[in-house]
Amino acid sequence: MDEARLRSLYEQYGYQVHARCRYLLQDDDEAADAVQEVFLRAEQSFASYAGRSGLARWLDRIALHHCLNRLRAQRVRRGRGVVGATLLDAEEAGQQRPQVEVRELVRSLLDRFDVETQTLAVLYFVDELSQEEVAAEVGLSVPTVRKRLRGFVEQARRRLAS
Amino acid sequence: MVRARPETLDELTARLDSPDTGHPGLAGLSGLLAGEPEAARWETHVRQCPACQARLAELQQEARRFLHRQPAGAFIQALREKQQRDGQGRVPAEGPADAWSGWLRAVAHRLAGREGLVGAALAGLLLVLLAGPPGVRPLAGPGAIPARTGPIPDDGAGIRDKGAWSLGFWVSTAGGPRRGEPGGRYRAGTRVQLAPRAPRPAFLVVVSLDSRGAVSVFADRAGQALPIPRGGTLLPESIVLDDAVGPERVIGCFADRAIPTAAVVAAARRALAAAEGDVRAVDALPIACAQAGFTIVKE
Repeated sequence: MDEARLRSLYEQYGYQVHARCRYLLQDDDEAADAVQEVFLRAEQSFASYAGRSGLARWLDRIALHHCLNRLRAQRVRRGRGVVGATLLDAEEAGQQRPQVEVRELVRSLLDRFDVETQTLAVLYFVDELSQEEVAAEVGLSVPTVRKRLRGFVEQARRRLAS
Repeated sequence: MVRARPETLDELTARLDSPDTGHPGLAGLSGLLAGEPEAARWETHVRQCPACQARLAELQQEARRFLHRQPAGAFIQALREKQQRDGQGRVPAEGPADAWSGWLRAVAHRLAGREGLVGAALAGLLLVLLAGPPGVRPLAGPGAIPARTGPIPDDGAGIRDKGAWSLGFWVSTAGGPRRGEPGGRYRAGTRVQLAPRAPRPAFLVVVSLDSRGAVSVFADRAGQALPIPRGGTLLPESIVLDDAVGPERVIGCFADRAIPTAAVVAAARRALAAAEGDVRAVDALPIACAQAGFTIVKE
């Protein structure tokens, strides 16, 4: 990929990739590093981008997988953990809108699920894709997607009740 | 612990039960913002929907702010610098010395395949260059220091040899990961990733001793030493520095079997007690294993 193409890709989609990484990693430094990794991967694999989905979805898929892998590999071992911390702050502040609260709730629950369910939950509850779009994105049937998402909500309910 | 308002959970359920809101979601609006052809189907709706217009305007503003903070030129420059750094042997990737020796080996093989004495002699010379002297290649980066020595009573853990073992670290910074500096000052909340180096496969427990007299485990696996391969390794989990200010001594104990973490922790406590709480005075842990470490100052 030439420099001009990379620049235009960044100017068009950099914010979206950053927002995804910042949301999942909850750390500015980590997010900045992840955005670099995502664009490096995109640059390396741009030739194989088949154009089946839009560039936004393609880049977002790279970012989502990269950040979920990173989260798994870099569990916080000390100090105040990632899980629940932001939600707690948001709740204490009492200023968050429902949209933000849903995003935070989903994020705080992610590490209790396998990668596929994590991906489904983020695509549906955070990106607000339709169930059909999510199914097409991950290569599952719509009923399977619905069932998995219901499982996510059920487990969230049990978790919060305890 | 996760806490949430009951309404938030209801919101999740409602989204499942009534999936079609009739409005574009975040992905649709982002696509519209980026001029994605797929998102064009929402154009008419957004033109007529004040709520969607407001959301789109907010996204637009955030995107503009983002590009103002991180313009494309600076981003691409940082990206190229990162590529260079990674190319220069980011642990545990093959370093330049390895790449160089690989190239020499390939040349030696090609020369050895040639007929005649000159080819054979040149191939032999290259292989001698490859073989030694030992220690020509850096064992680890500037964040690492060689194994510490000290009186180590034998409790049967195994490895007693010194040298070649090292423990370096990387820290997360705004410009990406950087090698950590032993003796450096780091703020609470800084993420640190450990980079041990071993001359042969081994088992590792890393503990830290801080100025409050606390001993923390930085690396192990389920209560036992973590197996690590020969060479440089970047441990997968990062550590977030807590807010105990002052010096912190981090020591890796490399053994030839999966020793219990508790034994290393107990040794660290004994060492700390013997040093009367002065972590800088702790040179080695009273346990039989090869040891390497570093000290940082938290602020």
